[in-house]
Amino acid sequence: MLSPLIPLLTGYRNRRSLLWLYCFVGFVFEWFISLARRGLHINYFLPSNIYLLTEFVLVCFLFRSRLIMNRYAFWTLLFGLSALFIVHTVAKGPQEFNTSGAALFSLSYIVLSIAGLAQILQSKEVLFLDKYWFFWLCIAFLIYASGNILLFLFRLVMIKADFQLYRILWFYLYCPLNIAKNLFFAIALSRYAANGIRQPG
Amino acid sequence: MLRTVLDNPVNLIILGIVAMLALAMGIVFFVVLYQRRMLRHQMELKLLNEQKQKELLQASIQSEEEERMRIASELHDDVGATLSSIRLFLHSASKGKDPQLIDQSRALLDESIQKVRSISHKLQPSTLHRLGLKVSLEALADMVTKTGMLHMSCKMGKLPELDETTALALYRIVQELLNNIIKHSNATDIHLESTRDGNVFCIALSHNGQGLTDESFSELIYKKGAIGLKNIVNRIEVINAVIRFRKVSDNLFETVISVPVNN
Repeated sequence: MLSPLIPLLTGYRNRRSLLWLYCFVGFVFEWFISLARRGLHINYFLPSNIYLLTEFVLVCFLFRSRLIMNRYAFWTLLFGLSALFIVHTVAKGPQEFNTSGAALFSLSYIVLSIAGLAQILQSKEVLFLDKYWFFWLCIAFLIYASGNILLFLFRLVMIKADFQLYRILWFYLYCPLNIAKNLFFAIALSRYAANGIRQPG
Repeated sequence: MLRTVLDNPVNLIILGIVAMLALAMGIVFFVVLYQRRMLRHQMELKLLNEQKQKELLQASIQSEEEERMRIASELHDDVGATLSSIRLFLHSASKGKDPQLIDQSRALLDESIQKVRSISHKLQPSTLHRLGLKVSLEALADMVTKTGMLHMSCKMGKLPELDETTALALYRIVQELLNNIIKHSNATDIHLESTRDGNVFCIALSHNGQGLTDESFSELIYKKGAIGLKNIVNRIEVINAVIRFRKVSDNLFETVISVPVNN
């Protein structure tokens, strides 16, 4: 829960960047969901679903800032997946966590990250990977989404089979991956330069 | 045991998660390794280019020095010696009033003038300045044929208007190529031809000896020495031209210089 604070503090100087905004939104939602779950004891799946959608929109714009993408392809991806998610969430009931939607978004993050990494390899401007913020952003999403996609997709199957094991997995897989993602974001924000290819979002 | 593990869907999901994570790590690992390899490759290319530039510069300086030495030795050994003889003849003639000595001095003076003219011509071909590239190349072909060692034919069409730098560079390149053909190829027939294709003017030089190909030319210019070839590269770069060497058949080699021209 505290891990989003790392990129927020590390990248405070770049608080006007989209990446910092993304981290901030993540931090606010995580606190709110936690409060709803433990303090207020209300259904926390609705804010979780809203967070998934907001996260997806922000991620799309984050990748768009660096990834050379056809304008129509970008808007189709953004509106198409968002609409699919909304329809599916409404159909399923907004009070339920949309695991399929989360898995679908994870898949799109994996695809975007691989496309980003491929573009970095093709680019002649990027000489040192570790100094390029976008490289760390791609790594963050690739590892985070690869680790969680099956966890989201088979959530119900796992809960049905062994709820305790699912909780353990959530604690030992989702949480470390979330921390790793935030650490990578912190590195990305620390690689910020005012001009040129290193500018985040 | 394995079957029991695989029968449980939760185990399969965990295996899948591990596989996905391993794949993601693999992709990251590959990207880092590939980038490092590309970086190393780029550095090697840069070094090679720098080395080539250095060699070309050295060749240019060495060629200039050799030219200066040649002119200095011709002036010192030929013109200087003849002028000293004239001085002696004139000194003797002033004492004895011998008309024969004055005639000899006059003949030596003519010889000196001819030598100075020859040196000057080698430095800057007068025909090129006065009559243009076409006549100069025809005169060059004529001169090669007159040596009797080989036959050179020349078929020059209407040449486009070329600036002085381009014309001189082309003349020098052809001169150097001819020099190499005479020295190394054992050719008996040389043919010089010019063509024009749109905005590209081409000069083709073919011969029936043993010549160069693009590959052997690239190898030679990276070797030490080969100053003439390096000078060709320098001149080609200056006029934005392209030079290609190819083997047409066993006894026919062709060199084509293509230079962009304005309409």
